[in-house]
Amino acid sequence: MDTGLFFQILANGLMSGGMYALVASGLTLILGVAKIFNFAQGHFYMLGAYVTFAVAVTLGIPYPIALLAALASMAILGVLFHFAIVQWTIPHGFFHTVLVTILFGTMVSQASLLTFGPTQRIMPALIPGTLNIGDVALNWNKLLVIGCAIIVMAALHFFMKTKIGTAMLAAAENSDVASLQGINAKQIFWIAMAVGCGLSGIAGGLIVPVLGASLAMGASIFTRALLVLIIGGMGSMSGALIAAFLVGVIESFAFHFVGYLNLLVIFAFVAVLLYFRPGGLMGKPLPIPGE
Amino acid sequence: MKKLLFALLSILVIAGLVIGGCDGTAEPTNGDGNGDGNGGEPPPQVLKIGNLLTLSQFTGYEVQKWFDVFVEEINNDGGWLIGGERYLIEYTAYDCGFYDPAKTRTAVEKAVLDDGVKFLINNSGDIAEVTLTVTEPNGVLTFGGGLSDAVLDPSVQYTWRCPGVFFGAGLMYVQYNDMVARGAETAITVKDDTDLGQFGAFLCQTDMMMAGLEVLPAVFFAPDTTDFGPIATKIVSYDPDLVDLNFCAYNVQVAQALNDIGYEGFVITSEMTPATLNDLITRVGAEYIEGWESTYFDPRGTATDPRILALIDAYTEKYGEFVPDGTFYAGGWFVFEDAVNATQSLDLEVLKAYLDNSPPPVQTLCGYMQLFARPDLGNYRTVDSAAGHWIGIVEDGELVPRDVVSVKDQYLISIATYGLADLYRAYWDEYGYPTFPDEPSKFDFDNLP
Repeated sequence: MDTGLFFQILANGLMSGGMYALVASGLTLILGVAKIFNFAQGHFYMLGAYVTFAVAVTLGIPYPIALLAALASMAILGVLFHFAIVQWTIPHGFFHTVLVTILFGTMVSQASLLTFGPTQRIMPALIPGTLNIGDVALNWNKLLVIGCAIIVMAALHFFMKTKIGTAMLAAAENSDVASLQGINAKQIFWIAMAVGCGLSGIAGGLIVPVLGASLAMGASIFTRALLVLIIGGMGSMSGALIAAFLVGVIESFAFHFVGYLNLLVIFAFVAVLLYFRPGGLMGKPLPIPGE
Repeated sequence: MKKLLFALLSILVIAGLVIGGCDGTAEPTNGDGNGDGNGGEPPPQVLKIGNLLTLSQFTGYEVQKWFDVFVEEINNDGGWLIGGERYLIEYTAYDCGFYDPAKTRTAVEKAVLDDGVKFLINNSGDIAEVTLTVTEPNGVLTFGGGLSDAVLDPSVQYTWRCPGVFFGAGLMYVQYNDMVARGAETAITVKDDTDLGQFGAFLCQTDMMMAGLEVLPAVFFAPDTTDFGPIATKIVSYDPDLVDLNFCAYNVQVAQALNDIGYEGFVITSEMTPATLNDLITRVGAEYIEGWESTYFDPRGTATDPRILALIDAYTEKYGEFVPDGTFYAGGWFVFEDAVNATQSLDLEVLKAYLDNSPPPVQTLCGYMQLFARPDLGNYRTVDSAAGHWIGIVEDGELVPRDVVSVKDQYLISIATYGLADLYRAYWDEYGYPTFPDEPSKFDFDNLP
């Protein structure tokens, strides 16, 4: 393999990783803080993409505002989802919340099919052309996604240092003890849901100029986000960031050598990793419910 | 109170999504069936027809729309006069999911066992093996089967593969020949890893070889791919003169990824609808796709048959905008209509006898369609269809007609592609040589190897 090809594959992987990082961060946050495994996370990503398309293309409103609309609408939908459905299932255990998120995702899928129809929506690239470094060509829009992913992750990092963020971490550690110290755990949970779903919304919005919006995009990205979560460690933000780029790079190189079987390579990697580190790269093993 | 308020708000949001979807984009499933009888004639009877479609995908949805147009044309005219009796058509599209065995079974059982449908015309997206288990024992005349050879098994009696893709190699061959003439020497085919993609790759690679191209290893990608950069990188690493995206899902995304890494060779895309062309221009610009060749199904500007033109007008009037995605896949309707009109019967065995014995070619929305036997599978009934096709080339951001691939070309080139010339010659010697629609062709019996 020549050097140019190697770096092109590497760059492809890093760019994929940027996309995965954004979605996985929302999933990780909700799991880490609220202990809710949100199977509808990919659907928030998909809805965020459609909202962005609708605002930017259909309504002709500038793209940055469309992004904010995706962020805000998905955060609000996440909060509604939490108060209307999720919070009632939390006392009944982990599996109940998992089931309602699956159910909610199914409802969103069907409603989206009726609303948006089966065709994908393509919008013009935000920044046309590519950045060429030697033999390596980098799509400007994907670079924008990576840049935004890093900014969002950094913002999230600093958010976790604020009073609310610290309270989130405390609630994540032990919600009962946190409550004794005056932290309103219920409030923290819905804030986590808002931030997590909002992150998926903005991720969907960022990806529209790269891939377009389609109904299947949520399910596709969720598989990768799940892998990122497992590799990075359940609930670990820094682990998710590292794992996202790792998954992207492995997937890219694996595609070059084994083609469409590339996900198998990642699954094999996950199996080996979990054998040696059951909690993933930076997380702790989750207790098995019922034990 | 707060809980109640949030619950209500959530219900409103979900209801809004659903209701929003009902606004213009979703169409009712059934035909109108509003005929009102004719003077002193006895009231029309009801003829139930249906099809199994993937209604969650654009093609299935479009086929359903076309069938609504076909049915309206007949019902608004007072019904279909068959053997002296007048029939109003009651049409239902049954959602069979996307190659989903469980949904296929539910759909076909609902159609046949619950609703009593006796004619399933133009199934697509169903699992043919599952459909057969219900349609055959219940004597349901069925057009479908898509990629499955199961419907062509000689033991199957009431199913015809219509439209089919077996006799479809002509269109790729004509395109590849053109590319060779334009200087291409090596070619690579790119497909999603699905049944259609795998079959398409085999078909394309065989035709590439026949056309004299050096065939590079095919590139397959998973249908749930989220990033197309690695795919483009792998394609370009083979340094092909021609990238073939026929039968490739996500061809817009692959094209964009190719553009990103500066690929400048020939590209053939799969069916280029106006929407796909617009998407391509949106993503890579009109200049990049200049000279690209594509198959297409848009009859406007190519069709001349007055009835087909009237149907196009009826479709456009009904839906406001012409969408060509379903035109090819709705073709079976015309074969069924011809059989009923020719026999003036709805009797299963009468229709079967007509369809099994070389019925004449029929004009569809996308040119001619004709049924042929499959002696290579031991099936001497005319059970598989060949359809004419159109090829266009992008000029100044518009797809303009370039060539018509005739039914004859599709049939003969496919036989050559699959290496079946000797077998078919023996069959023709015994059963007679087929005749074809009167249209220009490039390939004759003499050209077979």
